[in-house]
Amino acid sequence: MEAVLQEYNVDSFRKVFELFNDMERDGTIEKYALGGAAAANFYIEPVYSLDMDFFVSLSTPSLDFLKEIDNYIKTKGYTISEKGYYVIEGNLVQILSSDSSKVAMEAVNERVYNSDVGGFVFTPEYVLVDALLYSSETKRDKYGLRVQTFLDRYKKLDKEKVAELLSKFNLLDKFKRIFGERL
Amino acid sequence: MKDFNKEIDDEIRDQLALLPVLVKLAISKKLRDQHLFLKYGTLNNLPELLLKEVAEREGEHVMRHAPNTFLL
Repeated sequence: MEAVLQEYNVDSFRKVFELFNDMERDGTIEKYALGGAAAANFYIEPVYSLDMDFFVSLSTPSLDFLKEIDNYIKTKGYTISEKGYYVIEGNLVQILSSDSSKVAMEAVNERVYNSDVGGFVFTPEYVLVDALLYSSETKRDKYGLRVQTFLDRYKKLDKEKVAELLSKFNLLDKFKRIFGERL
Repeated sequence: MKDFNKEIDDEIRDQLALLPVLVKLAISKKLRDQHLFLKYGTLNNLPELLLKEVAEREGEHVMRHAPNTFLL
């Protein structure tokens, strides 16, 4: 049991956020926020998540946005897995540029602080809209299921905000094709 | 022996959603490491060991949030 407790030491998650807080504080990055399935865990039932997807913005645009981040993380003694994930305190971490989509860019700016982990996370509305962005229209892929779970289970969802975001990011038609008039 | 393959009902899902975030992240990691995939986004294979472990670690805090989760 002791080995299991150590392996799943919940403090490891706080340490991951500490690392990003440190990078933000010293200017290596401008802002960050956790997105993807790991962020969904903050709002709905626990879901399978391969990794923790952190979206970051830089103060100064760079063609190689990962260069300084990569150096920073490696100087802390963390390694990269065979599949290209940073392994931070036993957690697989992927770092993505917030420039990858307008949704991610805005999600990082509109992030919320969570005191349990001591770091910043996408709001539930952005987790949903970001999932829809990557969803196929079959309704059965993991992104579509995430959207569905938010609609079905997350009672605090700000549906007006979701509708506003869907409209802003031209996703309203896609949403309606898959989920009908759920908002 | 509890059948963990059956769908977890809505009440349990609601309770799981209220677990502390750090616990949910640990459950998520456990699911990953044990290659447990979810059916329709539900925790239909939540390992009993983890439930016990979480209850031991988090104690009353978790039990207050999700008392029936540990009756699975």
